[in-house]
Amino acid sequence: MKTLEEIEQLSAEELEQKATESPAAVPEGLRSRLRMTLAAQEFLAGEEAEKARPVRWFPYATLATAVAAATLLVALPGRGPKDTFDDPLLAYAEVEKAFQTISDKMSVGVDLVREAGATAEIPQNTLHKIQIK
Amino acid sequence: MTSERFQAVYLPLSETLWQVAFYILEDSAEAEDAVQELFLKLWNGRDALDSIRSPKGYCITLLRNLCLDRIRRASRTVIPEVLPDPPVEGRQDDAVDQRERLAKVLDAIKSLPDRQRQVLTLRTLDGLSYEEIADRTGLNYLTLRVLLSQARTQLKKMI
Repeated sequence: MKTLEEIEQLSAEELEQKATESPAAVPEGLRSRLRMTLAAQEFLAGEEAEKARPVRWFPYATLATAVAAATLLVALPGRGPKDTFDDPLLAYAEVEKAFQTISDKMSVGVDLVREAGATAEIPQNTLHKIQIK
Repeated sequence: MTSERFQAVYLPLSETLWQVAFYILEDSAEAEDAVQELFLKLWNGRDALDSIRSPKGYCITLLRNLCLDRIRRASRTVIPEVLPDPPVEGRQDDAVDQRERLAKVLDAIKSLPDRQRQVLTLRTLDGLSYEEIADRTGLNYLTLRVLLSQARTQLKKMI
């Protein structure tokens, strides 16, 4: 009868030698079951890593906002131009109107840029004058 | 240490390790449990295994300690006259929960159809790509994805 102390005192080599002196039959499929255990462990680790990963909400929020905006545009009556016409003349007129709107907006934009440019030149001119003096 | 190397170096030791565990514990199921526990420890710390010069000696020493712990724990399991205070929630509970989850997943893996189990093991444990698994099993890509998805769904149900 072996005691715990005896086992503790054996070196790894001695323990292996004693264990394999009169070997017992190793259960069939031991290695395969060990592989399955490791696969289970790895699966769990993967699941935990998945849970720990922060939710990337930004793309979803952007998408939801875009969908909501599109829905509003389509659903609200009288919003936006009609996009199909039976009469080609009406269609042409609508396109012309759209271009005119864009052109008007752009004109305002261009004026604003010019105005901003002129405002930006004031300190530059002042500095220039100071340097000349 | 890569999964491939781990399996090439450590898995072939399993039979000898079982013999050692059986020599100490004198019980086949207990010996297998101890070997399983050892392999989980090794697997979880496999990054540090490259520096081990004698894998067999290292494993036998670890296994001996695990077996002795089991014997000591078993000998301490006597019914106390006064019930102890309930354990503090935390790491101990987590460890038990982890073991239970692992046991459930393991049971689920064992109950999977052969092909699903094979594909899942090759993907999860061996870390093979879909192409490599397809080459090894002869399954086409779509079948492979379906089998893998079914296996994962089955396992997720269990945890």
